[in-house]
Amino acid sequence: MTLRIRVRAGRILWFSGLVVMVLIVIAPVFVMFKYAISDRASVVTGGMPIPLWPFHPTLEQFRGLAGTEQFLAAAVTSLQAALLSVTLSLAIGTPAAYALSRYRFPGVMVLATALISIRLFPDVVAVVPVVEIFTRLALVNRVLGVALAHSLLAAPYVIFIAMGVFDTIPIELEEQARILGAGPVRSFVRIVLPVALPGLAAAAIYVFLLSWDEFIFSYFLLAFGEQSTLPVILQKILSWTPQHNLLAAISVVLSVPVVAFTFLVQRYMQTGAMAGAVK
Amino acid sequence: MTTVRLEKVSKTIGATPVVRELDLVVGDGEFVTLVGPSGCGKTTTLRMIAGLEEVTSGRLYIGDRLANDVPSKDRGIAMVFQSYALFPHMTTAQNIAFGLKIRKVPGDVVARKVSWVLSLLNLKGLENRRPRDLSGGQRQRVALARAMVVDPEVLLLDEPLSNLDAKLRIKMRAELKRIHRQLKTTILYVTHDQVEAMSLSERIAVMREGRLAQVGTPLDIYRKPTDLFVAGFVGSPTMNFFDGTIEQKEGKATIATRAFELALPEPVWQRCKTHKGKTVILGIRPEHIYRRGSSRIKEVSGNTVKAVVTVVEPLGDRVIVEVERSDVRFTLVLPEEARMVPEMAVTAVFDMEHCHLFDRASGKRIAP
Ligand SMILES: Nc1ncnc2c1ncn2[C@@H]1O[C@H](COP(=O)(O)OP(=O)(O)O)[C@@H](O)[C@H]1O
Ligand SMILES: [Mg+2]
Repeated sequence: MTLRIRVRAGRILWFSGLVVMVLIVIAPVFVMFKYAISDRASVVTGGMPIPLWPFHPTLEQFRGLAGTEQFLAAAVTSLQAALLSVTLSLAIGTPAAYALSRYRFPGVMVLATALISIRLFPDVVAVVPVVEIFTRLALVNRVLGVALAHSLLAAPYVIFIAMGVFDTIPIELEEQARILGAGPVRSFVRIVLPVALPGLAAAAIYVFLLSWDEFIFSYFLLAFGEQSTLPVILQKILSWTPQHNLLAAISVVLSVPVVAFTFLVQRYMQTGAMAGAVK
Repeated sequence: MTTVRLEKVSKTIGATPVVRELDLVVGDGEFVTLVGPSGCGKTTTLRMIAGLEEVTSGRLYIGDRLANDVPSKDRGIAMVFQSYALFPHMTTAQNIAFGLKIRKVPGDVVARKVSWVLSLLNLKGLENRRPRDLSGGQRQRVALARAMVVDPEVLLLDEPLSNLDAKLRIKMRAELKRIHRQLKTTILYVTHDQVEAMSLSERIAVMREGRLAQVGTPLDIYRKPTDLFVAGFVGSPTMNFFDGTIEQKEGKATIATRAFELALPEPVWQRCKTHKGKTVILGIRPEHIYRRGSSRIKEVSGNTVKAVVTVVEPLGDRVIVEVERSDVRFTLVLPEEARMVPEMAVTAVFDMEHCHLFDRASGKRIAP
């Protein structure tokens, strides 16, 4: 009897814990959505408590954003930069990681760690020489320049993640392909890449997020151009202290592509990609 | 179908010699098993033949062609790895067809061949499964199918049955024999399991520490092991070994151990005369020691030893019995009816016609 009560108490405790954790995660998202669809009266209450749900839910803020050309252009630029960053950093990072993983030479880990430690410098320090170099290469005020900078920032992580992925793929798969007549390129494309895909998808999500969020490099690299990314626009908007509901609407717009991209890529992320390969 | 010939093939990894001056011929259409304890260099040997590992020195011929520098894909070989190395993202059919597609075999031929090998290996119905949805035995057959479908001239198999349970292993042994009879492909089969080696193939090559210890038919190796290592490695339960001194008293040749003395049959004596007065190692298999009363050989003075049972290990219809006399232990295999229990006294009858004598220093066989 006492045992049963204790078991039930344990369950209730566990369940309450779960509810609290879910609330902690959900609460900010809820608040963001609530504000984003709030009418002016639900935000500017003149000292009255702010309602839990807006008096008159509205999409007014979104309509406003959709009508702001500057904002739309920035969204497009951001998306371009992010997708380009994903492509570039994977294109650079994947082969590099493969080489590092397969051709183990003394000091591989030192090299890999050195790559990562580049990121130990604050971005503000790195941005000056990067802008300097990119100016000479005519890469400033262009999406390509931003994407390249973001790829440079992401590359060490991509290499690190991908190295870990390649390390889990037994060399015997490639040897078997070789015996069956596949050259190195075919074996990489037909065997290694598909098997590595779930891990590489994780890297892709990481790069997308990094680029989408990045402010400092985007700001300086696009300083004198017509284009701008969302974080940069956001900074401008913040400088004239807008209403909470506009800010929240912007936040929603900023979150959507990240969530969408993650969902899209996540389909490749089933676990157990290696299951059944060996033994 | 072709031959594989290794002439003084060696492999050194770093500074460690892994395979040393291996001489081995696998004949056209022959099924040879390479057997040896773990770490003796079997996989390395196979990988050299497959072209995955460079030959450090020596010559490797596949057919009449010196193959040392021929790329893997041009050697006419196929290999099944111990781990199977199935492509995890491909279905059974895709795994099997991979080699054919790479070779640009036309689609209808691929379909026909895949279908043929699927039925040869009882894989029908599993075409669209991924490796993770297959059992160990099925994975093993897919790996075999993938290797066989490309019509290799030589099939290299690295412990393909070691990951299967005992029952399936025995079934697959029979399958492999059947497939070999049917296809007549030259097969080099690697295993660390001497029972498997004995039961599978026409010829066995026993390896030890990178060297070839003995090559021969299973019976040759069982009857005339060339040294102590092979004698101890082949046969189950393992051979009994005793230190013994060869003596000749009143015209009779004997070998005296610490605990008992046994008469040496004339043919054995003729071969070991040179070791008279010296200590050698006497080897005798448990199945060549009987129990008084049930022995198939004549009991004479000089081939019986009184001993006491210490351990009994039932095997079903037979029991392995360990006995002891003055601290000298040996095992014998008796029928279950013998109803042995520890502490029981038995009189063991040694079939000395089947004894083996080895030099103590070199471990080499002296007689018979
Ligand atoms: N890459 C390697 N580096 C160093 N030693 C190795 C390497 N590969 C194999 N060896 C050594 O070579 C010996 C033979 O290995 P292997 O051919 O795999 O043996 P087996 O297949 O008979 O168990 C082992 O002692 C192993 O430790
Ligand atoms: Mg091995």
